[in-house]
Amino acid sequence: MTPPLLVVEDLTVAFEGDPRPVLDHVGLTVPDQAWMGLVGESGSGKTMTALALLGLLPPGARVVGGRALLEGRDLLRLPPDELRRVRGSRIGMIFQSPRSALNPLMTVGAQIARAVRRGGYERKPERAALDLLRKVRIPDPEARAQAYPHQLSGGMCQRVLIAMMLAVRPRLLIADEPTTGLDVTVQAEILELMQGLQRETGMAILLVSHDLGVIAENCQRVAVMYGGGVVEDAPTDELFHHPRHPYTAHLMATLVRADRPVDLASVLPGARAEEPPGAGCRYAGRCPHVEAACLSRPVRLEPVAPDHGVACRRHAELAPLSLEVKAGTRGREEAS
Amino acid sequence: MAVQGARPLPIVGVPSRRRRLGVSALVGLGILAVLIVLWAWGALAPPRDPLATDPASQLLPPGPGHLMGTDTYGRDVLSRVMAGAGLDLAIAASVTGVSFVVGVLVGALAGYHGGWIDDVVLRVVDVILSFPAFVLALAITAVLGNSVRNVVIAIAVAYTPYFVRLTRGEILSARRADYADNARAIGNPSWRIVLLHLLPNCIVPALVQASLTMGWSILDASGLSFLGLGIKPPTPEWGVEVGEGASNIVSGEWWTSVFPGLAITLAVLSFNLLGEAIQARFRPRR
Amino acid sequence: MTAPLLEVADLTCEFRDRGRTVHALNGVSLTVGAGETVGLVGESGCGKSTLARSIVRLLVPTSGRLLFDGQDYTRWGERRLRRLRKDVQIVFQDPMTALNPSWTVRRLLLEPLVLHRVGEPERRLSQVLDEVELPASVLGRRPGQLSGGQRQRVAIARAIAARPRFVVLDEPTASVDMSIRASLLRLLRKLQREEGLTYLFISHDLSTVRHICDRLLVMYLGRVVEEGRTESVFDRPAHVYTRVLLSAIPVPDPAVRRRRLPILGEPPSPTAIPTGCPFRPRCQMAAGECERPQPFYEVGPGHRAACRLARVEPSGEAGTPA
Repeated sequence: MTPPLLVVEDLTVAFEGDPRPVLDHVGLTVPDQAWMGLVGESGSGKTMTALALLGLLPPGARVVGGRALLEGRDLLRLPPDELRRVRGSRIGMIFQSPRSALNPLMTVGAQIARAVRRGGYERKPERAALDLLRKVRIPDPEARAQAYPHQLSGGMCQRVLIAMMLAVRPRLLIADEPTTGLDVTVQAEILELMQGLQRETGMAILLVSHDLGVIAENCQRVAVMYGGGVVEDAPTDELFHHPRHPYTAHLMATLVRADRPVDLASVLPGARAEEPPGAGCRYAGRCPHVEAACLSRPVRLEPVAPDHGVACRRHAELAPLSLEVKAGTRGREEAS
Repeated sequence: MAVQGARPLPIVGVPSRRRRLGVSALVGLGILAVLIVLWAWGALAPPRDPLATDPASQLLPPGPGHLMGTDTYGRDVLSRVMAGAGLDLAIAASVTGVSFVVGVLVGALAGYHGGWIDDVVLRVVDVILSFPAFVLALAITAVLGNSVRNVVIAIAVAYTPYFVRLTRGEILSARRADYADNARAIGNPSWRIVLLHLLPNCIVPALVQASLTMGWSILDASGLSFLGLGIKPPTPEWGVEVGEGASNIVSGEWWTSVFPGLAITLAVLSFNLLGEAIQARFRPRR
Repeated sequence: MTAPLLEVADLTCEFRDRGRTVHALNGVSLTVGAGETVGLVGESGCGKSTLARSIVRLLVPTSGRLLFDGQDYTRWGERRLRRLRKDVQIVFQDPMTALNPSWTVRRLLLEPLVLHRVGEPERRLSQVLDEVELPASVLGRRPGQLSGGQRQRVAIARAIAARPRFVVLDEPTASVDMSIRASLLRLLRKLQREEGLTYLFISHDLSTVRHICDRLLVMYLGRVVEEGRTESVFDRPAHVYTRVLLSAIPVPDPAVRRRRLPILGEPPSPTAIPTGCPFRPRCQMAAGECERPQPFYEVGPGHRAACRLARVEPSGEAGTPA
């Protein structure tokens, strides 16, 4: 097996004046030439993780500790101008609002041409830009190259960004909710384009998403985030079929899916923690299996199998339980 | 389309900053407090009668007997500044009150109703705004005659359009908000939607404007009086006092106009600072 | 079946936008029976939000008729509509924008009770809070101080407080996190049983619709192209667009490999509606006859689709024009 492309260890990010970090010892391993999923709900820290890796944290947020090794270099400690160079060439990014990632005063053709020049492959960047537009299946590329971002739909702008990534050919693409807010038919096309992009360039993709369907279909590996930390990290098959962490189990048990109906009656009223737990496990406030020891000290990700990490003290005890009982959507008594 | 996780940056984790009064608010409130104390003191126990002339003590420099000296007629400048505080603050409050209430209501009506009402209101506003506020007030007092009431009316007419415009714009964007539709769908009549739902969320710019208007209207009232078109002498009013004392500056008796002038400056400054503070405090919150 | 609670007949809605006419709805007809949950799915630009706003009369439709409980309220004025609003309510997609940010939860929930003169408002207030499973501690807070799930529960409570009979749910789960989506759906179903509500559930998310709706309508470009019982539509989608739509939903199971059906071109613009079948320019199966308006063909009990392929089922079974 090839060594991983990006290894993140103990990434901790905090806002100034706030003792509670927004990212707490986040660990991630992004395999080379593959899709890695990063899943979690809003506020879980998945976007913050992506931004920290790119050196684009919002004002007031600072990396307090940890490292992120890409090809032997620690992204968290690169000087700003060097990081900018890495961002332009080794790491690409696609965000949820593609239009805001494009320059509103430049035609999309010119922007792609600039990316082509930066990629340094072509003698005729304008011609190459048209080829790329064709490749991302933009109809009437000659006309579209002359268009400004505001004249294109969200799906179109996302295609333009993918075309730019094809020109730059980064080693790692960080895609933060690239299809959120798009229609499902458009989403399917964008994801297919990204599949093609990945195959053609051999890049690794870190896909940040809240949509487990998108994750399941595209990623070989998934990390689940909750409350600013990774609670489970496993190959996709393992994670979906044998979740070990109670939160992952909860996600799987209450998944509203289109391919088959789910028994809604089994879903318990959402017991939601109002207060963040103190020093202990970050899921303790919602966990159906919480005990006193869970609250006293932090729980870190630990390997339960060669390729599978779980941040739960009781994962071994809970392993034999059924999905619903582990998730807490059904009590132990009812199950027996 | 806002889908879950759609916010570009999670707000969670941003430290909640305690809202404290800023420096400008403290200074502004401080000056205002001093002016109010001056006025109250002057109203309850003035050092001298502000209208009492005294031929024996004309143009005395500031000293133990008269802290701010005396004017050409031997009146105590401090007492007149104190009395002027009451009158000028009252004029400012009346002007602001009238233009705020009228402007906000007319602006809200125009913004919410739209159509011909909006057109008419906008045209009238444009006409008024095409004159400089002070010149307009000047013309109105010249026509109506100079009494305190007419000065208030003249300045209020000049400032109302600002409130109309601000509120109209705010309401125009707020009425498209989902919560306005929600309020209608739940069964609210239009007047409730405007007054209870939209206006409270649209009022901050008008409050800022009100604070600025307080300052400006003091300036305008004094300006009119200075030119002889506002409050008539011998009424103790800052502009009147500055005007009466202006000729004395050349001969070296600076105190007769500098102290009332200082009062005007401080009052305008305090309301500008307060306006800034209101704006800072109510900056869009999330 | 008794008379439907809500009837929408041949509704069209047009408006001008920068000099062009937007045809948001082009002859939509549907009925919702008392106690039913009818789902309405479609992608952006299909007119589903315009339909929702027309039904609660935040918009005035261009033509067609809206009937509630047999009464035609298409052209009612605002004063008369206020009585209807006690019975017909709407829950918007994003409670963050749909709830007045400066009002407390107590005030938000009391307002409908006062407006519709519900007796003992305080009692109903605590009752409705119980029904949406919120603690009394939220009453003093403002929408910005609640979690996403709590906010949507407040929005639902505000809609059902005055005991309406019919609620339009416009993408009610789109703005909440996945882990509470299921519990919100469960809540909506519980409320329906307890309060005897009738729902029109509007969504772009077919997985959500599948779990709560008895019947389903699929919209494309301002028109209903297919309707039927939910299971029937999922099991045997008849219109090509419905098939494309179903095949595009990602399946949250790495063991399942779905095959996506292709869709041509770009999402359509409601300013230029094609003749005949609205999906024709993007359809792989389009033929000459699709340029003429397509009638509905019966493909099963209560299940019909406006597509030539619905006439001859893939199994060879023939459908008949309805």
